[in-house]
Amino acid sequence: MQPSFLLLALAGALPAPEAAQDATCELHIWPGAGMTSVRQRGFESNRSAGLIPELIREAQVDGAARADARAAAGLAASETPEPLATARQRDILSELSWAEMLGLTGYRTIFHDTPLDSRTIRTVKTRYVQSTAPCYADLVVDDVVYSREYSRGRNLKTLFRFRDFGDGAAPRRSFGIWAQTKLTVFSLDPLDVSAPALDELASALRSNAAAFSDLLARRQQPTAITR
Amino acid sequence: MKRHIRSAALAISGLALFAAGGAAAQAGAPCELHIWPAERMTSVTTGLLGGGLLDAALHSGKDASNKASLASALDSPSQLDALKPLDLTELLMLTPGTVIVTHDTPLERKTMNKVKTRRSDSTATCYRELIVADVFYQKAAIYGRSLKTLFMLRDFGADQKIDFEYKAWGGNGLKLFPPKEGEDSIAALDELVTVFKRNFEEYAANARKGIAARAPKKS
Repeated sequence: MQPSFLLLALAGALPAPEAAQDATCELHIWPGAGMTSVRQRGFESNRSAGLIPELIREAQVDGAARADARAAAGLAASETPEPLATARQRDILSELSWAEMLGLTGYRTIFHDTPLDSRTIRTVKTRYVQSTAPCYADLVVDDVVYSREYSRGRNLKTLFRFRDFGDGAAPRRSFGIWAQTKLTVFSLDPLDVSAPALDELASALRSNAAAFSDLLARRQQPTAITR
Repeated sequence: MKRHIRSAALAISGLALFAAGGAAAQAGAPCELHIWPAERMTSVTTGLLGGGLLDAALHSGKDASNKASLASALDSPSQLDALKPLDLTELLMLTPGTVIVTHDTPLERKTMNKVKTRRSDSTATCYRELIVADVFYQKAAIYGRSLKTLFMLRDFGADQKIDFEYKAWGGNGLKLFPPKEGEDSIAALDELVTVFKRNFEEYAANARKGIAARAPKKS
């Protein structure tokens, strides 16, 4: 038997995602715990040697930390102290057709209100909930990060983690990756949390979700071996 | 700034015990080791230019992404979870029965060296601190990719004065991190935790030499 025929035969014996059309199949989605931020400044790539350059660098680091603290304080004092709070993420993500996006047509999508803690995400290898659904998949928004980058501007990064258990006790496929979308309106420093800025942030999260599903779909395409 | 002790766990490995801060200073458990995770994550990628603003401009996007990954894979619970299962009593030559107290909230990095007294409210008569000061990813044109971690061990004895301090980097190479564009990132993120542990073991091996050779500053 040709290797390709063997692989096709084996593939046929496994339940394909499309086969799990039963309405009791579940896709659980958890939003992230708010939005954090990172900043990469120009001086950070300068490696210091000697006491005086080290002192200058430390002064730059302290100054940068103070600037970040001012930006955080400005956001906290604004009308929108948590522009991508968990509830907001949930609302934005619930607008998307996740089951179709993840190749799980027919799955019932269940959105959770409370984010999973990082320890659970990292250590639990089974279903996150005691679901008795015959087939189960989950998508976790692990991190949402506002990023400011020297000479590159701002973007919104999102770390998604996806696991598809099918009808098994262990994931038959899993995929985790960062997606990012450039921001031109929303800003922490100077602060811009106007309605258009918040709309852009929501749009960036949706765009990251779409980018993630595209990458997952590309990953699932048959390889040369199975054709 | 004194930090509120939020987490506690019971260790089953070695002779160290993990306990809540309130119970730590009980008689019969005289020695304590308090652990704080790192707040500062740094990523520096240098090409053949060897650093500078042009290098920074070329690599700032990648470095920002690396920082986000470091903060995700090595958040405070992850750092503490990586250290807690280790036999800290043996690795740091602690007094058998030392109670390990973990603090979820990192210390302010700028106060790390300035504050010379105990960072917790503990009044234990045998008190040590292990502080993770920095987590530093570096990619250099010649040396490749590595994760370095700066640790600091302080022994206060019975009072507020440092009797012994050992501060040093542990560093090891990376094979998976950062992940290639479009590829699954989970194994690369997990590698950061594995190498973080390895860095601590390397640091501890050097710290033991210092502890063994230590000359007390005070009687």
